Amino acid sequence: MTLLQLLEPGQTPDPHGTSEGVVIGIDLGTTHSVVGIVRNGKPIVLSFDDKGPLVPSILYAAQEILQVGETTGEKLSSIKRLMGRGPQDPICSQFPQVISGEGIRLQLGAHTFTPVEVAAHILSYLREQVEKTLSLPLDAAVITVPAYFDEAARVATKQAAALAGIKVLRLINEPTAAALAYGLQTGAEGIYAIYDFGGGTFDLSLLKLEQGIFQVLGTGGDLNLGGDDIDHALADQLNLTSLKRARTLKEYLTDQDSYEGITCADLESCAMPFVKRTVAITKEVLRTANLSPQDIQGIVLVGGMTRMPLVRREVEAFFGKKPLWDMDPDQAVALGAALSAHGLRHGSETLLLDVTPLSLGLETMGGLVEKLIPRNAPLPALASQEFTTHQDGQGGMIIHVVQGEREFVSDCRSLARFELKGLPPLPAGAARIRIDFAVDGEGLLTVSALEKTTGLSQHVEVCPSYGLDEKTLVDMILESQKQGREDMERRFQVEENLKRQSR
Amino acid sequence: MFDPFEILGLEKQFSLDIKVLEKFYFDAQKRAHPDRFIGASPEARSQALKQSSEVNQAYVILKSPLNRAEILLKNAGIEPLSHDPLFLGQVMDWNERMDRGENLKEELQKEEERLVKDLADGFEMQDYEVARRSLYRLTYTQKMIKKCGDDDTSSTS
Repeated sequence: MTLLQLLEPGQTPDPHGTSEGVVIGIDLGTTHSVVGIVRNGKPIVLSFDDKGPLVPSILYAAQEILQVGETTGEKLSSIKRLMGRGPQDPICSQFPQVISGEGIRLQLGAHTFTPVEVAAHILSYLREQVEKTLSLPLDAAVITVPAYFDEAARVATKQAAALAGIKVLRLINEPTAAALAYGLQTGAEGIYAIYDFGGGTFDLSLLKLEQGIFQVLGTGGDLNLGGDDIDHALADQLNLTSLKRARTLKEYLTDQDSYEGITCADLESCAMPFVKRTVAITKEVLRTANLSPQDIQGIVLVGGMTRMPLVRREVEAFFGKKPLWDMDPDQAVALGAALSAHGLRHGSETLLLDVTPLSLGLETMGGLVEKLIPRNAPLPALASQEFTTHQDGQGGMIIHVVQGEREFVSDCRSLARFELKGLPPLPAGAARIRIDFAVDGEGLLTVSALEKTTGLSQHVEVCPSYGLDEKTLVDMILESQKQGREDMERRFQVEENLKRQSR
Repeated sequence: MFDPFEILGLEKQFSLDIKVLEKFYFDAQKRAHPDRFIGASPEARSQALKQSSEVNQAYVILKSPLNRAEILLKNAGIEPLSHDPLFLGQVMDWNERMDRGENLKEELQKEEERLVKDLADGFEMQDYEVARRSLYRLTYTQKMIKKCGDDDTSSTS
């Protein structure tokens, strides 16, 4: 074994030595984005042009010039929900600007954009604003993503940053960022639940905070569950044509009992099914982590939706204690991202230990999934598995990487497919092909394959182009439990058939 | 050969306080985690990824008393127990009662606790017969507990 040189914690070398640039944290949100920075050891959020810290995640064109901000005209918004998705994804029906084609393209005036390009424009705008406001070049950033973002969406986010010319120190999960902001500012220790209900996504993460360590114990969520959905439901209920009007109503009814004849109770009956789903997910995450609500020291609320009294009531009822309410739920993630960026650049005692949100595996004979890395495995993670050929003289092998909890490939999300060619002509079952999975600290997967007798190898960065279809991730997990037994039976049958065929 | 005790620098023994395990785990990650190597060379980063992954793997394995027992028995060259007629009767009794709709979760959890203690005593006394019998029973008992958990959909905590 080769000896590895280790640096003292806090001695991470600065690749640019005398770099004068700043490092920031970016919460690239569904409805708005926030930039955080550490000043004199304290994280703060930046405001640009006296407009407050919340920058609308909206792209529009004014006289052929692309702008980021609120507008009454034609615009592209909530595109975070399309990151890493494919054109067949049902989420596209919520976006009238989507043009059908090979990948998702959105129409804005005479131009079309991919979701990655829209995100890149928003990130570019943030970079320009930061550089203008601070009169310093931007060196690098930590960008946050929902804990439940899958591979495709993470890769897409990194691509957007690259297009915007932003060097990404690391992606971190939004609930982890919020926990970081909360933990580092209060010195809290124990097990905390981070309930993050935003414009587009819901995430629930359990973290153990102890002496600078932020250990994620479990995570779950839904990429298609957010304030946007409540806006849609409210608009349907009241026959409103404008979503913006629904959102305004929702916001007004957070602070008062009625507005223009619509009552808080009307809003709550619309929102209830969505809030109930967040509670069901919370329950499931606790169960998986072998914890009960009493084990939770405190609940940190993040995301604009947690302003709604109904949400706070339901969370309090579930945990049997009042959620913490001493951080601005819109800013916590950006503050945590800023602390993370600062720590990564300048060295810190703090360490984030995150987990995989979904199992990663490979397709094997008969459409079965062989899981290599389970859900909630601590990151980084390596795993390998040996496979062999099915037929005499088989010259190639399709390697199909999937993500999900079910036993069958058809029920999981396809991440990548590549072919290992030029296998030596051997009898069936004689070749030895080792597949290695490596998931790094930020949750990005690399797969490599090695044929051991010839040393033939292939290496792929998993860069999926399509997202999950109809089912949301949480549905897939819930479904996998329901179907678990059936799947096992089907699996058993398929395996039996395979055995019989090979005899 | 991958030895989780060695990876974390822990003594090769069955008794392991979770607090001690966590301390060694966190300390190892503070040194090995890729976040400590953000600006380092690609070689150093990939080495960190490997080392940090092994630390995670070791931690996940050692967290489970069952896995610790398996490793220690294997290291001592002891074959696992293949059957246990006395215990079989107990399992059949549990299964029958569960089929009648009884919830055995609490009873099984108590049994689990007792078996972990037996297991610890077995290793303490270097009585590998006791250790491998307790391991066999513990494996079964945990499977039964899991079965209770899956069926028990109504409870909230």
